[in-house]
Amino acid sequence: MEWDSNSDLSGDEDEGFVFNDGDPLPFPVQNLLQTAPCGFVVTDAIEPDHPIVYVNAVFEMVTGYRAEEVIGRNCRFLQYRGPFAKRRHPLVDSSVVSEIRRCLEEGIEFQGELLNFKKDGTPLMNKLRLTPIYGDDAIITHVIGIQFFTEVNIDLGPVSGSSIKQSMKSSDRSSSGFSAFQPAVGGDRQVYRGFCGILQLSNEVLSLKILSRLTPRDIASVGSVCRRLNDLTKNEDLWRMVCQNAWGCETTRVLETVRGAKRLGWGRLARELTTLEAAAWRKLTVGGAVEPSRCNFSACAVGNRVVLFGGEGVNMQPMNDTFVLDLNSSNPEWQ
Amino acid sequence: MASTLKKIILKSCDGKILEVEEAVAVQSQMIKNMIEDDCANEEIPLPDITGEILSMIIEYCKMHVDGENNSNNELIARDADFITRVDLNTLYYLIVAANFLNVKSLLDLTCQRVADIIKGKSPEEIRLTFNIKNDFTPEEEEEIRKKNAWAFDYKD
Repeated sequence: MEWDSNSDLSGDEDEGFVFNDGDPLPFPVQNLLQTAPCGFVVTDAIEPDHPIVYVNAVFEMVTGYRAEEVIGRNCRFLQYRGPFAKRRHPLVDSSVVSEIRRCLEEGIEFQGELLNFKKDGTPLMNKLRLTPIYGDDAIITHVIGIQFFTEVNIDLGPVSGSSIKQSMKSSDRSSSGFSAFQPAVGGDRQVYRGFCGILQLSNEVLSLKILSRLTPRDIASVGSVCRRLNDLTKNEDLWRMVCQNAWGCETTRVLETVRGAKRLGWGRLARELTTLEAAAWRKLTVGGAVEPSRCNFSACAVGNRVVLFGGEGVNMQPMNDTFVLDLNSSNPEWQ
Repeated sequence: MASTLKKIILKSCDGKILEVEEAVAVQSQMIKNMIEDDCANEEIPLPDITGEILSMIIEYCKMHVDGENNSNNELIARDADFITRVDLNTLYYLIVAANFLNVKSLLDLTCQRVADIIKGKSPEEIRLTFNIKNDFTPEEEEEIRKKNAWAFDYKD
């Protein structure tokens, strides 16, 4: 039976979860899929960079990454601390990583321990077992990864981009099957006891989800509250969202096509357009008359006066007409 | 949907066991995935969610399952009623739990509620409401105040 990335795993169990030519897998997959609390990942070994084609619910639950976020990507993001990290965390043992690479290249099984991170940046020790699955013509088609995650007690400081790690866990956590995955909570983490944690959610994605519902002015206000929130409001995508809230999708789309707008950044655009908004437009009925009407006037505001100048006669002859409207007077009139 | 009377057993971090109809439980995408992967035959331990929060979430999911036939407006009114009863601290735990359990409508509702609370507030009012310490140095604060002045000067 061919491994089909779209096949329903639960449906396959009755057939003993058998791959190519009826060779049973060298480990009891059936048990694993039912209640064992381990992560289960399948990657496509034919595609370049071995993208993930399947993760089980335990993987999602433990790592905090959802299937739709990780399918199509290589597994190495687990070595990055949080979704915003750009490279492997320095504490991840690079010799283990090269060992994994060597085993995959030689097509043999790998077993070992590797430091991984949850989406929220919490470190996890991953007792990893990678098993290559061979297709009909002795080519590795898939690699199956079984991950036993355990807690690891290292203090790494805050996740990059956020400075406060809020923990909601109580010390009397039950010893449920999953508690082993949770990091130990030291008393020092509880410094925010009595504080409302909402705006200090360790999960940046969640905080941004809240902030993206606000207006540009509110974001400026939130950014002035404290350092962490200030950092949080430097996010371009957030500004784009709040600009969209204020002016609608169409405006933001049009703004994106304007040359130079990208360079300015959404924060700047928000400020400029908001302050313009603060200058209210009002329709005024004024007395007097601009006579005779001609084309090519220029209008200019000088203090509270509007000056109309120019005018073009026949043969593009400049006429130098000058009209002034004084908005300070109670009944403004063109003069 | 109502015909599935299978019960899902959830266990909160403080050891409270709650039996939930499958139709209600699958409002949580995470539990739905677990059921699909056949991982939900025994009790599902929820390490970060207390019994109190879990009961609230179940109440919310029930409300949405029972209210499927109601008009949209009625559901919105019920959502509003549900969320305004929640204090800030509980709201925080609800957000974390809704995110963990992946109950999208509840996550949207709770995040919107926090956004509504922030809306129109000055930095000082936000600090007071959420009990956040101002950790800027006076120089930093002055710089930020200047930078963000555009957002405030029209208010006064």
